[in-house]
Amino acid sequence: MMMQKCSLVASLGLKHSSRISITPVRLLSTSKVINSDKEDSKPPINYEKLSRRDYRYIFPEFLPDPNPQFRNTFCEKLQRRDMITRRDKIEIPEFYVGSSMAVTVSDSCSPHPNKLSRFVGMCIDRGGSGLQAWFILRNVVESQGVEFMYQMYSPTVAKIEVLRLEKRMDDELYYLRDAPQEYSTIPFDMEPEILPEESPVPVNKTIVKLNPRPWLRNWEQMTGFLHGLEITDAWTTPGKIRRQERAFAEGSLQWHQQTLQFDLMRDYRNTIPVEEQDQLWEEVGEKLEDRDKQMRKVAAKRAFVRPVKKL
Amino acid sequence: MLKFQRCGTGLVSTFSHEFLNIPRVGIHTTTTVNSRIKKVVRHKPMWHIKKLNKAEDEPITGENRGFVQELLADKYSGPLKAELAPWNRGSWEPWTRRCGVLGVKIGAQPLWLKDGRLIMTTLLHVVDNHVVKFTPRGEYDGSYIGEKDLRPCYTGPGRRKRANISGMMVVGSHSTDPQKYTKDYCGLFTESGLMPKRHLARFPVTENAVIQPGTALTASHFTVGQWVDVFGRTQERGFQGVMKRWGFKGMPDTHGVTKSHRRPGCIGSGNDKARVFPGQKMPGNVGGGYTWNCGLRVWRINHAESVLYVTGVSVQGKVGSVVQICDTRIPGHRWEALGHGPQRFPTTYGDEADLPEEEYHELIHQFSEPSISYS
Repeated sequence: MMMQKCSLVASLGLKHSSRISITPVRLLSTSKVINSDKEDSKPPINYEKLSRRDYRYIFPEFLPDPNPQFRNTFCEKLQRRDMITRRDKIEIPEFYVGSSMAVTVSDSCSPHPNKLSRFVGMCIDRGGSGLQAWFILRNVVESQGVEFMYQMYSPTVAKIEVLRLEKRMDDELYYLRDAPQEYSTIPFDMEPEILPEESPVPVNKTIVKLNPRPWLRNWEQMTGFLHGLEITDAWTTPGKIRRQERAFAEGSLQWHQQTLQFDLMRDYRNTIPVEEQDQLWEEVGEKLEDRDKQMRKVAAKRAFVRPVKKL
Repeated sequence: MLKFQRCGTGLVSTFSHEFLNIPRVGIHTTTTVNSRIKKVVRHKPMWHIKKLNKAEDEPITGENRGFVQELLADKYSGPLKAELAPWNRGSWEPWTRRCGVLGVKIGAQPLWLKDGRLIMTTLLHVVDNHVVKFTPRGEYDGSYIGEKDLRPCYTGPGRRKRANISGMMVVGSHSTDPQKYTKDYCGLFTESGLMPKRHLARFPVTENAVIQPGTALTASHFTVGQWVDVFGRTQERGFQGVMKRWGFKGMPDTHGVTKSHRRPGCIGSGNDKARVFPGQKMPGNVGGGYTWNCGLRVWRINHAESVLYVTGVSVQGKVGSVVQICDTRIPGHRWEALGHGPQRFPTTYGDEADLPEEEYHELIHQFSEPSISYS
């Protein structure tokens, strides 16, 4: 197992969540009302509420499954309580699909005396809502592709670190399985990279050139909504071109899938309305912000106490 | 005919009613002999009190509507009827039967054990439960349902209640507006002074477990770590083929199989009998029947919000369905096998000082504890 180099940055314990300020946007003046010209003006703009709307990107697992068959606001509330309680014990940082992360889990079979196991990889997918939130890390170990799925709120997860916070062109990177291994390799001794405060999340616009066919999935059919991949071998014979055209003819399944991007009702069904989200963030936003402040204090304290190591 | 297969106990989810004078002659419409292997019961029994078939009320003005609301609020506000002295609280002894509760399935969430394993749990919300009525044994035996218990049917001889059962307790959940229901149905609740309940359930109880009508029941009725049985209606799956309905294996998708991938195949033997036997498994409606789901363990109880966390995702029905929950009758997990009774017997009366907000089983990892470590 490769030893993690103890760098200043890592020892300071600075986390990537410090990059984004989840403190509400504050006005220069202390008053909240802006448009005080008119008597019967609109209700004062709640900047706290508006800034908390971005939490759906930082904490997507707090949003419930939009399927109405499973919706129950009381159950979701109870789950959120447990999630907040767990977040008090472990730092679950902000991350996106494409970020490089390191997860340390308690493993009874680990050869180390502390019975911990560390895995570094790129997040290729994340999902689940509530306590069932999960994410998948992919890496290449001794030229063997390896993927681990982690339950974010499992008590066996001891630590989650984001080594490089970034986004990719797509929300799922399963095509890395059909790409050269170089695209999936993350060095195990990678050090965390700190981004400046309140900077936007960088988007990695790497285009992944896929291996020649055969593939695990028919990626050529997904080029409409997967933008981060490039198909190098054409594999088009006149017969296949004709078949492709026929497949996309009006009224076919492929044609219908192309129109899905314009289906507003489908989008509505698959999302939680903004009004409900506002209520949700009102409920948990303060606790999350308090926790963030707490973690910053701890990091600052550690930075003060720890001596600077000479490299 | 109404029969529920469940661990050898008698009928449940039937409401014993002794007010209606049901004529004994001409009730049976089917014979007692029944060769169906699978019998799914979906309809309510004919002797059930008509709940919603009320005649349309004459239209009233808005003011009068408001007045009716005030009347109802006056009638049902304040403490419940407590004219008589509160009934004695018994103590547990082996072979005691106590009542259950009605819970709403609100969802599922994972819990983790202290060794790191994950268990999915279903949340059951016990809301607005009250004991509606207690029917003593003599009255019950004399009623129509009591007599039906003694009649033999295709499952066997009569299913008389055990000798130690002293009566039937009726529990209701979800108080609702009496204007929605018929007068007969509302009349069921006048004795206890409760608001009419949307759901009712019946539980046979022993003498020491009798609870006064009007008592509220919550999730604290149960003990963390005990096993419960859940009775409810399964999800309706519609008309299904033999593979989903009976678990037939079907036939291969390839290798020359012609148009018979999910079909039943042969349904009879041939010349000798020259007919299809009754009870031959064939496609048909699946789901929507009342079933018992036994042996679910209670891992966590939220006493403040009255929520139970039970094992698995197998609780019948969709999210929002109402189920009956009672102590298990499984031989290995019932109170007699454990050697002791429930912590709060027969139920919690709200006067326990040391009831925590949340109670976990000792094997469950609480989220407020630090991460699990094996070193």
